[in-house]
Amino acid sequence: MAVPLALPSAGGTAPADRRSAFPLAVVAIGLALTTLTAGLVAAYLTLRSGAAEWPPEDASRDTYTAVTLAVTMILGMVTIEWAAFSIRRRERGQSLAAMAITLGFAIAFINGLYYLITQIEAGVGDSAYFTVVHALLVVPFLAGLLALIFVLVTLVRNAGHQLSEANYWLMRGTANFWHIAAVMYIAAYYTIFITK
Amino acid sequence: MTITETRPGAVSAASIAQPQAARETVFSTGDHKQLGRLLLVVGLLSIAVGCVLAALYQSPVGAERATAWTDGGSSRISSAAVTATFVIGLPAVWLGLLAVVVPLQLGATRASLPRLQATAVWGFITGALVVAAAYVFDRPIGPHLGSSLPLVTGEGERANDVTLLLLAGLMLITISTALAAVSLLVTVLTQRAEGMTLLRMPVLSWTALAGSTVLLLSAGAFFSGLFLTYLDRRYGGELFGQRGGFRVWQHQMWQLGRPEAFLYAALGIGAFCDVVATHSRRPLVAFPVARGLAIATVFATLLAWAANTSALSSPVAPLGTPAQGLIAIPAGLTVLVWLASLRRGVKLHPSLLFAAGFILLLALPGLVAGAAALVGVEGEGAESMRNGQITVLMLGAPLLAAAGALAHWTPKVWGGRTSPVSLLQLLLLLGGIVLLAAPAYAIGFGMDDDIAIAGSLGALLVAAGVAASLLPALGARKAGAGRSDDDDQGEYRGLTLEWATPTPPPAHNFDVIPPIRSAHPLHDERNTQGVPA
Repeated sequence: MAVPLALPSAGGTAPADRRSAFPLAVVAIGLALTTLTAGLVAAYLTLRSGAAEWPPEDASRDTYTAVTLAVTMILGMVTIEWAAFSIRRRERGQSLAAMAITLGFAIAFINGLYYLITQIEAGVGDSAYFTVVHALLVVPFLAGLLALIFVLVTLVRNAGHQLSEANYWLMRGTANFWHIAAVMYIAAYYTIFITK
Repeated sequence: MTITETRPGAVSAASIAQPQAARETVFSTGDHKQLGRLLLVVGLLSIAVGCVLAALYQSPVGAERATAWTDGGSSRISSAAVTATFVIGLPAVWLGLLAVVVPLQLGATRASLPRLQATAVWGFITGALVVAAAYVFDRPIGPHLGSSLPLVTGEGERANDVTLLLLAGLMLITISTALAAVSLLVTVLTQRAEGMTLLRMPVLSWTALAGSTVLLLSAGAFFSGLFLTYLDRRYGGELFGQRGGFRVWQHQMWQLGRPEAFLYAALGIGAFCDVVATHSRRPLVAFPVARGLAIATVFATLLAWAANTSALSSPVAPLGTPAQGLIAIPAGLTVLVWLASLRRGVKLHPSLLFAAGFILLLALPGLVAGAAALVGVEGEGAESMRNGQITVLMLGAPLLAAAGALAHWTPKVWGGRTSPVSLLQLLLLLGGIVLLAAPAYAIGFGMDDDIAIAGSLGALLVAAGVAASLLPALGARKAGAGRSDDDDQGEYRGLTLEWATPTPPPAHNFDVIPPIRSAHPLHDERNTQGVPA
């Protein structure tokens, strides 16, 4: 009985399986990042339920910046899907434009979130509230930084004609990671600024 | 008839892989077998060190208490023992074993994302070294992961440097564990050979898929606890002094409040399903049911998040809440499937004796809890009994399962036959675990604390048993220098694909992959050829 044997690649091109492996790996990492965020949100809510004063009197919240950042991430979710769609439709010019806009959103997000964290006037250890709020904001900041790197690499490879509808895995993985980072920030935003 | 197909105009898989393998060193390899073996060695050494520390803790020169695993204080020895055994040792052993065996079971020529896997392994080892350095240099002030209560510090009181170093090492280990789980999960989903559908995967591969999912979920939550603890200790916070702070500790840091408490024993259920099928030389009775039960056991470990300290006053702890008790149901039913499968005849193999020991360890806490309920153990006695239950269920069962799985898959992991030493190893491990748990049980039933010294001897026996697991590694043979497939099948007559590859497996895993029409392709092939199964 003949059975085709999957031979390792002799080099040059990525093995066929890698195309689906990378986006899948990003989704798997997203599972861990989801429970990481859920753990921090759970800690926030648990500590809030036991605190006499929550949030503390001296806690200042820059809601305007926080909302702007949430909108930025949501817009980025749209533009990165636009880029992915364009690559599959062989619209290289559009995909480059969409990636460039997404890169702009990523830089704006990192810049804005850094500003938001520095605007928390109290120290990390001043109370349990400030400890958990810092944690809730620093984790999406790090995820956003990773998303920025992914977007940059994907943009450069797209500019170098290395992405196509048949070699789509990097774009799909980057888009997946952007969505995960966006959900992480929105969860943190909702917890700190909406539920309070 | 089996025909090997080569790519037109190309060289064979073996000739591509062998020159690459020759250039590779242990530091640069992306071979899942080498990386898995590396993790296995690190894990076994770590557990051996943890058990020696536990023996020291329970000896007259140490605290001379009934157990090192749940000390509520901040003893450096017991804290190091818990970390070395549960946070480094057991995850490394199981992830290493699965990294070697699962791709072979699936007919994969390599693991998916090998660089990610290599990063995970080296990150894990680096994290383990950082943690070890933290314990060697000074005494970390908390966190003791075996303690259900966090160490509460005063306002503005910052941790010393080694505490931060310890937390950083634990965070690195957690990230690496998650990456290793990602590699395993993606390998199962994308690297299966043609014909190997999800429903045709062996039970161990299924439990690896379920286990890596649980591990990813659990690693995220554990990391959130570690990160909060790091910020709290680094900046002199009072997070755990707040009302509700202890709950954060219990569900995100405490060893018993997280799925890992039972996950590795649940993986043992999956491993022994394949062991029993192999040595009974037939597929398991009601194979789909067994597969479903093994998967259910793994996912049921998520119920560990339902743990709380109110359960600790119960002699049936750590399965002290009804939700946690549900874990025992699919596990118990799977054992019944094994027994039914073995009734049809069996070729005795040391790994089956490990399975018997594993069943004994799963049953022991239930028997003791029943006896405690009859006698009416409560208060401090119940808490002491809980320590015994933890030793048996959280350390004994997963460790014995890992040792049994290693004995079974020795040809594929280390490249030789199962050593006769494995029987001695079984005695050391089983006797050591029972002896380690016995003082806690005895004190629970009202005996004096003097018996704690017996636990020290038990911990040393366990350490010796774990060290014996490393003996086959010393005699490991290089790939390509092994026996033919027929030798393996003479000893095992295995049903699944890992037994279709030479021993030890070559760098490219398979020269020929048999046709896959069910979950037991080799069994099918033998029957097709008219050879009795």
